[in-house]
Amino acid sequence: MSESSSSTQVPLGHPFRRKGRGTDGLIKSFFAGNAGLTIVILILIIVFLVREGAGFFPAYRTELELYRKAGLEFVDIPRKDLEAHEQMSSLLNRAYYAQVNDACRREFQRSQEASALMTYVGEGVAPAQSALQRVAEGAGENGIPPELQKSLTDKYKQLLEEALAGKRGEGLPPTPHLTNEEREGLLAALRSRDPLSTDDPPLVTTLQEELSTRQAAAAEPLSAFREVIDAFAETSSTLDAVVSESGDLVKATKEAATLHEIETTKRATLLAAAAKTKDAAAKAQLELEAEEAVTTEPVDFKTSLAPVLARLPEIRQANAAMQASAAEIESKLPAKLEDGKADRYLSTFRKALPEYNRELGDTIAQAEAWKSDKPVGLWATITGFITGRDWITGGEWQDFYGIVPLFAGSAIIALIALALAIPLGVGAAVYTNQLAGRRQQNFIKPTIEFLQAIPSVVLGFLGIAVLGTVLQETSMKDAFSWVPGFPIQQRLNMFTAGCLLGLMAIPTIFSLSEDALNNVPSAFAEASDALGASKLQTVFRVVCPAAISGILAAVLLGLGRVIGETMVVLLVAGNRIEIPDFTEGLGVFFQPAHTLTGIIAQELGEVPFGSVHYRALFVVGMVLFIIVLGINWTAQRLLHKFRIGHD
Amino acid sequence: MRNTIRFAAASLFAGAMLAATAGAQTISIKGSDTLGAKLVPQLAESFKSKNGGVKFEIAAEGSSTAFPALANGTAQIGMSSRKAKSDEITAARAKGIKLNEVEACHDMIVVVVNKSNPVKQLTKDQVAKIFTGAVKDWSEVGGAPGPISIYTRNTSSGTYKDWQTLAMKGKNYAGSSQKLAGNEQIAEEVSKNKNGIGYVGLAYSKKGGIQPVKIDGVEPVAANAKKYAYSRACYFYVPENADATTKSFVDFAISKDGQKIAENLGFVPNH
Repeated sequence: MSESSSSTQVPLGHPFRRKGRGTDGLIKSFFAGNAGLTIVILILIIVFLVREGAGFFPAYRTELELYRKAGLEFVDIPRKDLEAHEQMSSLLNRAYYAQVNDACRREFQRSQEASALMTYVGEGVAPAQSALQRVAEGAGENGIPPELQKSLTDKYKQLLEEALAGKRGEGLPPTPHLTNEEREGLLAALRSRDPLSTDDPPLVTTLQEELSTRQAAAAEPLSAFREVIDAFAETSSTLDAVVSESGDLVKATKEAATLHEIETTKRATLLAAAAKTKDAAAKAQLELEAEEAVTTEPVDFKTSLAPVLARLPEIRQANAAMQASAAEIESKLPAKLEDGKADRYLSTFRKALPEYNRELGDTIAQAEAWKSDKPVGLWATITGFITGRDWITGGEWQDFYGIVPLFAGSAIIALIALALAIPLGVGAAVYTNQLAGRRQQNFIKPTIEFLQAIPSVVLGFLGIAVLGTVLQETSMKDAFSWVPGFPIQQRLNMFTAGCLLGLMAIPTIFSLSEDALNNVPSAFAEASDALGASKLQTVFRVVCPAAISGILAAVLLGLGRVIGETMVVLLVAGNRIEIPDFTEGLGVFFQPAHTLTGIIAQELGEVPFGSVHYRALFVVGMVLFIIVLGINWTAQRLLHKFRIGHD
Repeated sequence: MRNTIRFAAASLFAGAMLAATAGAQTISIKGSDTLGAKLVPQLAESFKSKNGGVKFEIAAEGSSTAFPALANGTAQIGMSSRKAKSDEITAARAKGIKLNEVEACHDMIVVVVNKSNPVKQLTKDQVAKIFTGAVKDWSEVGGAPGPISIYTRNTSSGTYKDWQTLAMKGKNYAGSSQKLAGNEQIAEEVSKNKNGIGYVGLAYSKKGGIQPVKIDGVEPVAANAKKYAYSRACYFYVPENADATTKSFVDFAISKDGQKIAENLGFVPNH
């Protein structure tokens, strides 16, 4: 600090000399300033996050209070029954149609093959065809200029011939279920079709008719089953009517309450504007408008709720009718359906029946116990956020913020990524550090670390365009039909996202594991060698266990990177806001999902500043922050706790 | 040296004055991407060729950006693919600007399915049931068996909200729906997934690999705009005391010529 302690003397006349300070002191304070500024910035960021997020819970609580006071919560109780009923009807319908379509499999295939052929040719000629159409539409009275007409028609013919020749190496789409004559006839019809016509060739129409006749025939023996389904579907109509009518009522109440609030705010805004205005006439005008701004009375929730609550007996009746129908449907259903898939749907229905009955059973008790003036606790709001299974935003009814679906998505994707990155990253590190020669080391290390240089958005594009498509197409092959979740329905899914994130985590895990292995004192390996252990014994029995804490920390830091990554999941994970369906077993990995980071990136851009939704996203950010902080902290602890050979 | 700078500044100033007095005027237009991406720039070009000296500044960053810009006076015209909310009108009014609403043109939201899907038409009720998740399998609406994959726009989009009111009576989207960023992305995913269904603006419904679906027997083409179930209007918002050039531009946009331009771009004209 003092000049006497520094060995370098600033020469006389040097600018640093002017204020009597030494170079050391200046450099020191410069770096101290940098460190201090960094910490201050970090603290400011955290304070900002907390401040924006903290407002969420009270605001959400106010919203939930209105949801309760206006009676929306009450209507949601029987509405749950309707949803359950819809699911059950859908199951029966799917069973029915699976059974019907089973009988028409051949007709379906024939019809689809013919359409596929037609589509293939249609796509081939599309450019010329649409150009012709545009010209014909814009031609007006004079008609199309003949040379243009000719050149376009020639182009069309050329494209048509190319399309009919088929893809190189593959030919036209296969039609194993059509006879040769039919195929030739269809191709001839396509060849001779007028360029402007969009009508289907006769064969396609015939096949469609065949299919619908066959479907009708297949449905005949199932008419009793159909009646049961229709009757079951019909049972909810009374409740449906009651719920939708009271739904309109409570929605109107909520809207009136919101409108009144808006008007009150409007008056305040106008008055504030009037106070600022200097022009007397404008000021008077604004004040007058402010006076007229509030046109509605504050809503009296008790009165508006009365007609809704008065319908409780009707709800009770409808609910009883539904229960009665659910009780006897079991005996009316066919014992077994021939088609395997149809039978699976039916047995799913049977299995779901008790759950459905329970849902119906507790409705009335819940509705009776419901009270509009029960306060919404802050703690209940917080736990509701953490354990909520719905993230519904932009709904007209009520927004719900529950973090479970987002968390589930993030966790599963991280799991997939780690399953890929740990073996590859750690394995590569062990090999490079312990087994590889110097030249291999010099090649492997920079190459793997180079992966980190690929921007995540580029990786995301790669994921959509290449990995997702390849995976989807591979999964269509019959040879892979045994893999759970195949064929993959959605090109954008958690598996693709997980693979890409795994790729991104490999360099982190590799570098840090390699460091950890490097840090094992060479005395350990030498001692092991001296005792006569082989190289592999030394690596797996001595060096790796000694470095295990460092490797674990590396894995955790890799996990932190995976959880926090945004761009790739936003582009590739599919953004489906639903908890993944775990009943599909391992197939769950091939479903789309949303993530903690993805939802922030997707929704923060355009939510109104300061709204509840906006604040909810900040709370999600805080949750993310805490998770990553926890992971990093654990990693640090691991590193320190098991550190060997250094202290 | 100083003299040169002074001279340069003076001549710049004089030039600017000249340009201003010669009637050069800049009309700033902000708001919806639906209108601002193609339609308004083309209208502006066409307007410019008839009225020399008018300059345009067009920023298409979403309907919500139109109203603050109008209120601050940084835009003379706002574009919006939805009606203004009452608080947006109020905010402008509080700054002394009263907004007039002008219907710019109509747009249709078209339901699209994969090209290989045998389902060629749906009823309104079926569409509502599909998007709310009550119907889960294509066989339930007359297609080949297979689970329905729903693709929607993301929550911030105006079309997402419009669809909710137009097609689903305000009900919530099915939990299984996937939210994608834009029309193009929806068309792309539906073309890749044989069980996919989604909705796009009329201009995007002609892409390869997808096919538009008839609703209640009505084909989604511009001529059917009045009959088609999912039509919506797009708007211009103009301050009441706007100057003559701005007004004449809006008049031009809704005139026969302007509507013709809209029609060529895949919008539905007002008349």
